[in-house]
Amino acid sequence: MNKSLRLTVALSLGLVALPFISATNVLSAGASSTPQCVVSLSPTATETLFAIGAGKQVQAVDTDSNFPTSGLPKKRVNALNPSVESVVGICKTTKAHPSAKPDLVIISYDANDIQQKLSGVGIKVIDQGVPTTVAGAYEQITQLGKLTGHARSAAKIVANLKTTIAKDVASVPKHTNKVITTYYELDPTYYSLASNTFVGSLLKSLGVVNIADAKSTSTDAGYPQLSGEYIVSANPKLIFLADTICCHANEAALAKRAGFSSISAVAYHHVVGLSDDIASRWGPRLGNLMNDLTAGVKATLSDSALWKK
Amino acid sequence: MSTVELHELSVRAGSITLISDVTLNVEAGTWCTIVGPNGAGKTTLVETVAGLRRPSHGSVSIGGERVSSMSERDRALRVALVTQHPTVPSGMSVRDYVALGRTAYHGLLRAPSAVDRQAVTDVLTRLSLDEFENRDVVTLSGGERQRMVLARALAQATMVMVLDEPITGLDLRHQMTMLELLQKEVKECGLTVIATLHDLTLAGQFADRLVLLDHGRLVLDGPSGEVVRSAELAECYGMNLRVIDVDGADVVIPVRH
Amino acid sequence: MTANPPTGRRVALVAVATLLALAAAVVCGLVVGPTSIGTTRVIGDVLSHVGLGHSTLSPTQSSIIWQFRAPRMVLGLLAGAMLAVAGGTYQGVFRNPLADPYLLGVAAGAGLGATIAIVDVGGGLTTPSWTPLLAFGGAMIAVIVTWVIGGRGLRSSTSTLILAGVAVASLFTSTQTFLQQQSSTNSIARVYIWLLGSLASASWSSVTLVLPYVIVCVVICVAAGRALDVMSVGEDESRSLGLPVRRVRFIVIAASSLGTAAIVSAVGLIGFVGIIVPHIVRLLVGTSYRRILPISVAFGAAFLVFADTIARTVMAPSELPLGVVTAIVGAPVFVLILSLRRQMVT
Repeated sequence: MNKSLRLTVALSLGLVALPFISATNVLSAGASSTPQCVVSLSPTATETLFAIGAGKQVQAVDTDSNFPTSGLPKKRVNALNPSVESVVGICKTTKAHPSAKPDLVIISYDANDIQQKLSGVGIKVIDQGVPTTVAGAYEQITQLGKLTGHARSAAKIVANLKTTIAKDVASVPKHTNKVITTYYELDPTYYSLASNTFVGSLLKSLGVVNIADAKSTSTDAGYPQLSGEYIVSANPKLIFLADTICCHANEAALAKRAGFSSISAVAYHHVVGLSDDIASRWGPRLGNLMNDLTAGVKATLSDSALWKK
Repeated sequence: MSTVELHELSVRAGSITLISDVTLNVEAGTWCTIVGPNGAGKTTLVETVAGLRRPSHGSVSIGGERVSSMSERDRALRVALVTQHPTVPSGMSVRDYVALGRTAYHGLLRAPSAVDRQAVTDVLTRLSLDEFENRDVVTLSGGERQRMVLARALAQATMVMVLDEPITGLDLRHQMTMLELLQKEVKECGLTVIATLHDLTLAGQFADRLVLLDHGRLVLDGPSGEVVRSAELAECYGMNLRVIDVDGADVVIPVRH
Repeated sequence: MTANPPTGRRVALVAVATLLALAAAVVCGLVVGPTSIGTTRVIGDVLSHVGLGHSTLSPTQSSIIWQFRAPRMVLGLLAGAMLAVAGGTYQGVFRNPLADPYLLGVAAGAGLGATIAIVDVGGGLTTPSWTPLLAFGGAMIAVIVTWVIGGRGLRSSTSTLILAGVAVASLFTSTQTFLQQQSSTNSIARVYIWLLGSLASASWSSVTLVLPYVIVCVVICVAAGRALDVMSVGEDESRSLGLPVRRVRFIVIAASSLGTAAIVSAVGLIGFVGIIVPHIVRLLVGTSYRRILPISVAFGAAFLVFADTIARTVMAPSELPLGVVTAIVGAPVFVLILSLRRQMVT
């Protein structure tokens, strides 16, 4: 009687737990084998996926993804207005991957309720939006490595980035009495970024003073809009332009703006143009960005004419 | 009891007084015509009787009830209005237009009943409009259109009808037709008519009683024959008026000095 | 020579044709899509839900039909119906063929509300998930302000109300532009996508949210058809015929605006349906609102579902904004109507 009672109890418990077990979708947990169909709706994620060696698993990317320059899949989805239904059936069906459903979709903006809709049909969706710190960017690379079966490559890339960034920071000579006021331009209407953004934190680690910090409040999420007057009066010694591609910004164009020719950075030619794509993404080319930033800082520091009073 | 009673009626718009202290009783089944120079307040007066304007002082009553305290529907069941420039919406058939007159009976949420439909048919026949029944209202000539507007007002089957310059823009024949039709309704069906008219001759011939309005005040109120010959009338219009009897009808002629 | 107003028989024909178009639109909305599933299999699946036969669809395909396409089709029906009937009603109340459901500031108010949500004013105070609520609130506030400024419908001329709508719309739109300027480029793009209108985020929850508003408001508007016909002779004459003009105006404008605001909060600003559909129907069945409004309900519903089918299929795996499709289809149809009208009058 004891045995049959125990059996009954076990069976009842099993029955009670059954709905929860089935809801947990045991299948997906078991399918931790390499996803064969990945869709990236974030240009940063695309760069990361290809850098860690998962490029062959990517079958569709968003319309803004443009790096690496070769090897990107032909299927393009507009990340701001995706056809959710198309994404559901976007994969090539093969023997190894009989379902047309993607195994993994990476987004950086939840357009058309795509996250809920795809999750509803059992597709794994991760949201990798803009991080606020560099550590956040590393976490995203690591996460992609884990999910695509390239954890080791991802770890290597993160380690390289850490090294590059640390090296760059170290290579900047100490400059306790030289205040490098810096202006980082996002667009010609003087949108800038403060130190609580991931690019801002890179700048901060290089020991510059970001003129946007004084103007950033809690409402702008770290992206304040400055004014021409403020920039001229702050007289930065170093200017970074992140709008060279979209808005054709360069030193000559800057000099034409009212009062800008008098700014130290313009007068002493410390205006550094960055590629929009590199400056607006937080993937494997973060190192390139850091290199560009560091080079600018070092050039400014070593310009003796600039520091003569 | 009079059908329409105006008691010390005054109507103001802002600081301007349009009608001042008018007292007038119109008996059932009679035709009262309001005459007077432009700007005398004739249109304001008939609009107030029809309930489109509120009295600033005094009252208008129909059958003993104050017009201003009636609901729109009750008002529509008691007094019909023919405005000076009726809006004729293109795309509507003549029958549908005349049927608008039955709105107060079937309401806004129900279709016209058999009684309503018959009333419309009767009016169309009475006013010789049945051949135009399904025509678009804009295809009618001026005279036909005015008949149609009258038909709509008649379809309302009210005790009182108020008309503002109902024969403006019509040729002589159509003018007479309209007025004869109205006269018939008054004599045969006991309709009470209050109408404004420019033409003093026609006013005199088609009304039992004339009311002279000037600068919002009631100047004279009496039988047509008397009013057209009065000194007040000539004074109001500021000219020499001669009244000649032609085959028993009074003809009013302005004579230059 | 102007033709006689259309006969009852013609109207019945148009009504039947419209209902058939509606049925076709429903089928289209379920069967057509970027993932081809096959008409018979879809129909088989539908029938299996009412107990007739078995479905041959995989769970994913079934999800696509019932979680993606079906709610989207239903929302499209509701949106098309409401916008068309609201447009027709406004045209009747204002006696102006250029009136559309966004006339009294609904569009500007909803746009401002949505922008506040998307642009995340106050840094975390609102989130994009608040978009429907804020869009709805914005739309209703705009209409109420317009109503109050425009004389509460007490002025006899409706142009005061329309002018008030223009003023309110300008104010709200400029505020929206100001907020957009304060935000990042990405947010601006998101706001514009919202402004262009889309059924892409349709789900059963958005359908159930919008459904009661649409049902109530469509019923009220259609019931107002007779009153609008009376109002075609102008305010003074309507009043003399027994129509409580101010009350009717208020009820009709309130119902149209409420229903439109509910729809706009769920799908953004879909243009052309509200102005085009009543005109097409008017061309077919004449000027009586008793006929125009109910037929516009079905016509608008079918029109929008067909347009959405194009929007979500033609550029797969991306989507065309729905407002773009309705404009591309609507503009030439509008021109066609105008030229037909000219032919009819001469």
